[in-house]
Amino acid sequence: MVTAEGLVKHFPLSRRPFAEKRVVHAVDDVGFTVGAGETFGLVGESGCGKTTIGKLLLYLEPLTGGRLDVAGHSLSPLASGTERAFRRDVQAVFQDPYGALNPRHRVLDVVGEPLTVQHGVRGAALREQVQELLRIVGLPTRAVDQYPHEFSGGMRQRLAIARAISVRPKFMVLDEPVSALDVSIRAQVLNLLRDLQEELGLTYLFIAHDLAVVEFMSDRVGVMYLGRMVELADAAQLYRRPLHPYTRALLRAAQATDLPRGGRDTVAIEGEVPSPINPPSGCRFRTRCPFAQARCAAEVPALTEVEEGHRIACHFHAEIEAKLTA
Amino acid sequence: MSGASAFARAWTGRLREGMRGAPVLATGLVALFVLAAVFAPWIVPHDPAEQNFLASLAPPFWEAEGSISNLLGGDNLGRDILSRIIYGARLSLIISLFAIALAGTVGVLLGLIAGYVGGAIDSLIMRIVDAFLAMPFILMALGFVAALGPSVTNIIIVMGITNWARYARLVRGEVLSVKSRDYVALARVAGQPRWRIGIKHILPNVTNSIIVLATLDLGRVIILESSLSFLGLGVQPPDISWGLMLSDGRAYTTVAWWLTVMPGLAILLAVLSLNIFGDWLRDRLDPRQARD
Amino acid sequence: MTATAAPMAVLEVENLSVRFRARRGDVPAVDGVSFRLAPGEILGVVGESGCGKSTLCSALTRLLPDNAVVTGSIRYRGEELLTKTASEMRALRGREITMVLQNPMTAMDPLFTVGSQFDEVLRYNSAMSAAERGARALEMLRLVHIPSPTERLASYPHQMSGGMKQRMLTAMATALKPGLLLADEPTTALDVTIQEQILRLLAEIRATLGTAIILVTHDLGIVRRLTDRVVIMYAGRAVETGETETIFTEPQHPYTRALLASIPRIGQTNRRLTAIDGQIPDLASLPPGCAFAPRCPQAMARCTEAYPSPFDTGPNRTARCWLHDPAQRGAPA
Repeated sequence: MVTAEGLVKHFPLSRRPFAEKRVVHAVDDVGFTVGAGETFGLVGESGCGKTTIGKLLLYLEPLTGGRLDVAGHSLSPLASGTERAFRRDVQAVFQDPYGALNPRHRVLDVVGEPLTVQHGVRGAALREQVQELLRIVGLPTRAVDQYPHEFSGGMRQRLAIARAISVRPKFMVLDEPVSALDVSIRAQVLNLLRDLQEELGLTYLFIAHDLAVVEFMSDRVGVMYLGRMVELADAAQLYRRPLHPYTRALLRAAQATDLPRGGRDTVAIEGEVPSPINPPSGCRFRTRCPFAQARCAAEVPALTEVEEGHRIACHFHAEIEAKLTA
Repeated sequence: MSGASAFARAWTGRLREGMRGAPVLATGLVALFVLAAVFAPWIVPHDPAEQNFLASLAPPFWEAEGSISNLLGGDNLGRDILSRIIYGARLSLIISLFAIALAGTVGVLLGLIAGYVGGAIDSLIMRIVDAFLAMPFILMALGFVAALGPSVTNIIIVMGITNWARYARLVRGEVLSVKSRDYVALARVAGQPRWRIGIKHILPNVTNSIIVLATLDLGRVIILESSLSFLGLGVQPPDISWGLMLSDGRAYTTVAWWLTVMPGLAILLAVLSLNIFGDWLRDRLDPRQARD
Repeated sequence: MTATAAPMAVLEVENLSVRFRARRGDVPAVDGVSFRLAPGEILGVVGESGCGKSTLCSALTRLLPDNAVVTGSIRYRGEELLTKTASEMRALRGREITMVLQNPMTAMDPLFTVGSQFDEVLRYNSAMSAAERGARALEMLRLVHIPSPTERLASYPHQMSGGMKQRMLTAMATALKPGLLLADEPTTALDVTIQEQILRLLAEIRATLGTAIILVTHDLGIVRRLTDRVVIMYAGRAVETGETETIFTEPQHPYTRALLASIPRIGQTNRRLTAIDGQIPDLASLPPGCAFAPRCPQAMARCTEAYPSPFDTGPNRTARCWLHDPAQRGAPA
């Protein structure tokens, strides 16, 4: 469904004529694939590039470099005249349930917009289809004449989901779809997303910072740090046997939520994410990595397969694993 | 019958809800101002051009020599000041509305383009805006009127040309903020062409700000028109304008203060109430205080 | 002041209620909340949006808006706070009871250096000399692990990252060794690895300074990680209180149980989550009886009729739920 190779996205920072050209290295040389019907999870902290990846896959931002195919359309770049067809196949749900719905439009128009644009559905037919969509996402059909501000966060997120599935897409980008919701509402929305995936045969890119939520949703998971993919594996593998020191640090932070696991194979890290304008040479995590050595500054570690379906970008992962499990 | 009254009740209810917290005095004065302008020919006590020799320099009715016939007195040619103020309101309102419509249309269009398209076009438009905002109004108006000649149409054009920049700047800023909302990105994901996103999603979400600026501008434009007319560059006799009345009365300030004070007071009250009303409207339409 | 080693509670809150007067009737934001806080103890106040946790926090410092009506009792080291004058409260805040808030980005004035803002806090709230204040600031920065503290104090807020600012604010809030620190969602705006650092820091502060901490949060993971005791809030009421570990291992209120079950956990391989149906209730129009009853799988007829007072469900544990009514113990699962 998705093939990404060597994706690069840089944002120019200053456009003044004589200023030094500086760029934000949002995404650097990231590759992955997503198979039809599966969920690919993307985790990382703010500024790691996971949201930018989502925007690239939605063709909301043009690529700086690399090759990208989504749902049978090449996005490097998208052939002119095919954007409408592409938009029919690829939809999205974003984090903020308040910003995602135009406050001046009724639910009928908010949820029905893609149907109107793509298939020219209007009037009574649109009303009927929107009501059916509301039923699918578990909202009362009378909601059709209400305005977004009359709904709570969880219900708005259901509206956003109804809108996204209206054109029967093949692939959906879900960018932090539950992190703005209350804890008791999250499970409802996560269950709904899983049910829809099963019923409609959807493929998901699921972006989140919460490792437990990502594990629940995903078949495979990629961990990003400062624009690079540092580890990529089946969800079960990644959580059973994290290898990259950054993944271990994330797991340590997340385990607080869980039954105490002892933290045997986790790592506590200090410091903060460096600026993406001037990222560290070599391995970008080295400035915070307790195991960093000279080689880490000199050489960018490649994402290499260490076991079936488990790839990692760290020069010393074998030594670290030996040290931590000793 | 009862259906009609229920309908009326629903509307008064809605009106009451919409006007909640409105400043009573200012709103009343604005309404009075607009009504006077609209119905001027039917409510004036005298023909504003009629010269009544007996009423020449007659003081307002509360003064010793005043009379009920000329409530606010008469001017040097014996014309009724109240009637002239009412007709002045009419012309002021017409000129202001057209001027704002012109400035608003040009400004909103250019602001939308600048904010939405961005890049070099944005830079170009905004530099022109800066240049217009930096130029002193009276100087600019002088130049234009000198070139075009004074007439009501030309005043409207001059004020349109000199005021559009404020709208462009406001709209551009609003567009930039609305453009970054998720629903705009999602409209693209839905497949909406960019120009339709501009019309369906961006423009409706900046209209409130435009309405508020236009209301506040109304007061400003009335003052500008009065200034121009006072300087002889605006409304020309026999048309009536408050600024022109001020100018005409100037020579009589010592003997008949009401010739200048009355139109001056009209300007003051109209502008003040418009500004207070505009401030209230801004708070009312602020989306952060959405209908509760 | 910290020398009084008696087992007196730092804070005793009894039957605290806050109602906001509003045009459309009163809104009961906090309703009959009681708890005790021992010196050096960390208490978690947990709940979702609109549960009253932030209002509770503001009530403790008497920083509520004018339309709030507060009843009940808040005693700090035995002294009633609700009858104190505004100036007495001001003297207490900043010295005895301090705060760390959610958004570190807006908590400092961008126009002044960090050092001058730190110094201001100490100058207003203590009688220290300038030299003592400078020394204390440096000492606190070292305590919260801020590298090169001297240079840091000379820098401006915008030159620091979110995590660094939160450290700095924590240092300011604890520089005068307060008896009670209120931390209102202190890590919510931060990334997970930074959150983890701030949590470790709060635990250290408690250990080295003996400060009691009230941690207000929606994140159950943070609560489990850091707190000794927990108050679980729902719709303005403390539905369950008790020791953290026992609440997590043996939740007794159906809301706590449902909440814990609905969170995905690492290593758990269920294909579905046990979701809580329905929406969070609106405080302005609460149902009669228990506010959770409409969403509760174990709701009984009496739940919609009356709301129970807290029942003891174990040592130092209470739950406000009819299932724990001693009169009918043994019946429910």
